[in-house]
Amino acid sequence: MIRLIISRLGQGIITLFVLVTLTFFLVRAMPGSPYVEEKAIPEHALKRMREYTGLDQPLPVQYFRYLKNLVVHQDLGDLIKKDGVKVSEIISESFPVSLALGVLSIGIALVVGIPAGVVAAVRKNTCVDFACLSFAMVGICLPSFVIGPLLAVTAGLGLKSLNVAGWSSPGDWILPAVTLGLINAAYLARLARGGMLDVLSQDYIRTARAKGAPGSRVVIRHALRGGLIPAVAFIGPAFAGMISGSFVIETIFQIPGMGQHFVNAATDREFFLIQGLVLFYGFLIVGANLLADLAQIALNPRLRKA
Amino acid sequence: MEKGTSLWKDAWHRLAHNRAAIVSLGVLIVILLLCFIGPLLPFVKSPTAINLANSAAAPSAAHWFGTDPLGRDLFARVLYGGQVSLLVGLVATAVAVLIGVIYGAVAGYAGGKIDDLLMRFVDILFALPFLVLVILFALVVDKPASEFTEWMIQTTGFARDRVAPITTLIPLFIAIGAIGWLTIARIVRAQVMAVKKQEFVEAAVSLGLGRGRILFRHILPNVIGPIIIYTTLAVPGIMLLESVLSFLGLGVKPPNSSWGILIKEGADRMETSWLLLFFPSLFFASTLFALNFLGDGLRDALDPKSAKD
Amino acid sequence: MFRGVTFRALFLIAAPVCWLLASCQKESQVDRATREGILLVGNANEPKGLDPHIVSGVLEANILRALFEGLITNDPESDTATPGGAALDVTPDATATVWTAKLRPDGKWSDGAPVTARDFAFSYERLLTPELGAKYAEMLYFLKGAEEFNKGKTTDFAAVGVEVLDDLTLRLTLRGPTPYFREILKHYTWTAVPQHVVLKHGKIGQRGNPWTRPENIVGNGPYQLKSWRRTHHIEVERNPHYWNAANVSLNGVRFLPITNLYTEARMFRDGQLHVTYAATSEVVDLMKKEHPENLRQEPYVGTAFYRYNTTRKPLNDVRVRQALGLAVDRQAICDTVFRGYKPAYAITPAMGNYHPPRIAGFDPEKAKRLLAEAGYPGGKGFPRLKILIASKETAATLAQAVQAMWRDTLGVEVEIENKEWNAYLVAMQDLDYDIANAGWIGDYLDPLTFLEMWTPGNGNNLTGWESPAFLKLLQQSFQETDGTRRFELLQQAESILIEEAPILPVAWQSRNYLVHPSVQGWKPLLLSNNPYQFIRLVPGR
Repeated sequence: MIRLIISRLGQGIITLFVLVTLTFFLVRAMPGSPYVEEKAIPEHALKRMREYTGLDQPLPVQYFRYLKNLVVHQDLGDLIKKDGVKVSEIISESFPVSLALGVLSIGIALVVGIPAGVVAAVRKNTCVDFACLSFAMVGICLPSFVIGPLLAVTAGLGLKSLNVAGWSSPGDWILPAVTLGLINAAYLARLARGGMLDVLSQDYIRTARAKGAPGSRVVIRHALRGGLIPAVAFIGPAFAGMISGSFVIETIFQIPGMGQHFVNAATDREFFLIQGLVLFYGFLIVGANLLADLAQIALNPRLRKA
Repeated sequence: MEKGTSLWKDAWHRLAHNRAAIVSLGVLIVILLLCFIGPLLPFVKSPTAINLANSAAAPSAAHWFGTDPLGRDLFARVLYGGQVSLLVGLVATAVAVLIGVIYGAVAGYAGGKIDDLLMRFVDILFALPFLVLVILFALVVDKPASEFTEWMIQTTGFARDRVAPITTLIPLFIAIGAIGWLTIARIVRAQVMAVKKQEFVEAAVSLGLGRGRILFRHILPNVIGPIIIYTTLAVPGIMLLESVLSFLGLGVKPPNSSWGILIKEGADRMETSWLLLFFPSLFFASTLFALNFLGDGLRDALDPKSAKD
Repeated sequence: MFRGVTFRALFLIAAPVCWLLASCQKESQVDRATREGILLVGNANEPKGLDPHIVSGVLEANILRALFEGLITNDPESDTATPGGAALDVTPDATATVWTAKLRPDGKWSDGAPVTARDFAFSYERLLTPELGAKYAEMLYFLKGAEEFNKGKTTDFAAVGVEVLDDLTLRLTLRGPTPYFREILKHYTWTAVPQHVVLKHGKIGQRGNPWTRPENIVGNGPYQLKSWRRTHHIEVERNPHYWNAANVSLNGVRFLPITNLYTEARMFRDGQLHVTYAATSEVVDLMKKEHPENLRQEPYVGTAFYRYNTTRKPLNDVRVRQALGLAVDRQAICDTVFRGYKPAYAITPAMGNYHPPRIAGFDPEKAKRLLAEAGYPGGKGFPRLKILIASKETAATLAQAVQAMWRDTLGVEVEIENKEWNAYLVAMQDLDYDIANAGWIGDYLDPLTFLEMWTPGNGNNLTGWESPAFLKLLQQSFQETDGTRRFELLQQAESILIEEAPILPVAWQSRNYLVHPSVQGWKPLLLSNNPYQFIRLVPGR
């Protein structure tokens, strides 16, 4: 187990290095430039701006300067269009918000989705199954830019205690987390149902039942572990997606999270911000995957080295 | 004596008796016909004819679903938009699933260092900024796509309006497929790793069967359940991804449309003209519901452990 | 056992629902803010910064208005009035070329230091210092020698027409007669920055100077910065050292960078905002039905238009350009695509005493005739051009409307090329387009802000159109001291511009936005530069 963790950490560092290098060259290959604006910037001013950020240097020089700042000074660089704002500031301000939202949403998704999927599988082809499936389908078919405003208009405008948007009052997390949570709950329910159905039809389940074990015990003690594998495998990417892809939720509910930076940095051609975000995100993924794989091993004893 | 059957015959037999699946298949066929054959019918209006005087009108005999804010016939727009969404959803997903299944199966079965290498590659691709890649991709593919469009119009003789919306989407398919295979690879890998330790696999190995054969003929069929489920789950996500890209200027371009774009336009006008949201969502949701029930039916049918009856 | 689980689950759902319903009697954010005297304003996006010498946008200007006050300040009711701000008055000599500003003796920075003429001179020098690379330095080119200094042709600031006569007197020598100079002085590029604070944190021409960080920033405006949480809010509170602090009613302003207009409208309706930044056409329709008293539709100093690339065939033929322009039904567009906008028959919207020449219009018969004369009767043989747009809501709708109009009236088929924002700007600047969607918002209330950009070689021309006659008329206007005569020259220049049609003016913008009934004193202004110190919040509405 320890060896696994160490080897994965080593791989993680190599992964991050490759990631940083790839991103560095990819972003500079994009058409356009960070200095393009609606009202054209005069040539002589452009020249100074380029000198200031070091973007007038040849690529290899820029690359090594970036690496040096990164490794030696732990400096991710500054924003290009906003003077004096550090990339690390942007990340440290927005990540806690996205993390909180992500955790709350995953919580809702797990609490609603997994039981729904398991119950649907156990009560297969009954009304309960159909009801759970339909609820799941709504979450999958309606995109966040429909569910979000729908919830905002009905619950937010309807209930005085809920704000339609914002991230300052205590209840502000409810609507966005429910929106994201329900959507992911739907996916989890489907995957859990599918996985459970696979497992419930296995021979060892039949054996347990034939031995007279009560239904619920069969499910919980014997089937859950195997049945939840696909659902658990989905949690990792789902959580990562929430951190980086919550752009839509953030614009609907006016949340100062990280998702918007992923999108805006690309459209604004903020090179250093893109690189910083990718590095940070890659870091999270490497860690999250390690945890997910460990969870898999925990769920499936056969994967442990004998 | 009982007549011998194969797995596929069994599966087909089971599927045919699954009412929900058959109804779903029917719904899907109807929608596919409507979207692809429908526009060829004479009474379906143009989806791009603007009539500013008739903005956001209610359904009428002339416009079955009403009109959009520019006075265009919503029914026609839903049908033409369906062509785009269905193609993107089905083709891009098929590409993603194909790549993902093979990749994930190999990684899961091989294990050890190969698995590590393959999965780290997935990590890198996953962490790369998606939007940057799409912007770059759009740039690189722009010219070849328009040249291909011109060539298609010359050779097939179809009108530009029919051909262009589809051929300009090919880069989009590739981009989405190239990104979409990552998650399914992970899921397949997890399943394969769980299955490969089962007894029947050990039996096959001890029989001396080749690795490839074991993987594709013995392991994958047992893993097919989650694959089908995930595919049916991936389709809506991919259809919606297309609408996000189009919103940023990188997917379907106006005046062409897709269900995703129509739904977004409808959602913006939710409170003043909710029918603009209702009709495209109806088609979108119906397609996905049908796909999912069909997928369930397929999964059930292909499950070797289900009872014969 | 599952029955038990279901029951427990139901309870878990029911409990918070009851709590939500029970906490019904809560004060809305707007009501609480009104009580506290804080104005909640939607401000479109996170500002690029708060340094008046570095930024250049409308939303930044909204915040800078609260923190800094120029020699002349904004009037709360009149577009054309030029009340003294940091200066008691700014008076011209006979030729309107040399202006003398007498500063207010009680003017203070928010850290208590006095505002002196030295601060203004320092600020103008800083903005024009080449090292700073200020992109809006050209706002100061009215000053004699400013352009040369900024472009590095001269290196001694003494060559620029800025003189400090004493602590409270500043003499500005301009490059030519400028009767409308007091109007220019309202712009934030002409405000002062505190010399002692800027130099404390860096050199005069240093970029990235941290003097605007929340813990350092100092201004002379009615408000000072209280808190700044990126992408969440910026809040300003009253500046006790402001010379007119006793007459400032509003205690503070909270700017919310809400990027999505539908979210902003929802927040307004939920009682979370006093004033929104804008309102989409759906929101306008909705408000007209529900609460028309909250809706404002006011003329704004902006124009929506199309650029033609006059270096490409067939757009190099003026008849083609005119034909395309005459085939566009601007009124229909304003009724559907742009709610509340007015059809534009020139590029400069009416402002003060300036009335643009009535030239562009809708005349389908003349359009067809011109197109035939140019060699494309009924649109036959006309190449398939592309309209370049960026992915913003109304751009696509407008392009589709225009596309249909050209097809129906002229038989001309165009494609719509939707590029990503950055790529769109680059394409336009590289003249890599046929027809491009564009817009322009004026910086100050003088027609020059809409006309100067069309001179040959101007960085915002981007059409390849060059007219020596146009340039000559503008240059003549630079020498004209009489206001009326000057406007006549500018009208003639604009006539040339619209007749030769390197652009297709579509509509004059109306600013659609929402204002809560508790806000008093928020009057319609062309530049939408409402000064916050004259706003009052009245509870109970």
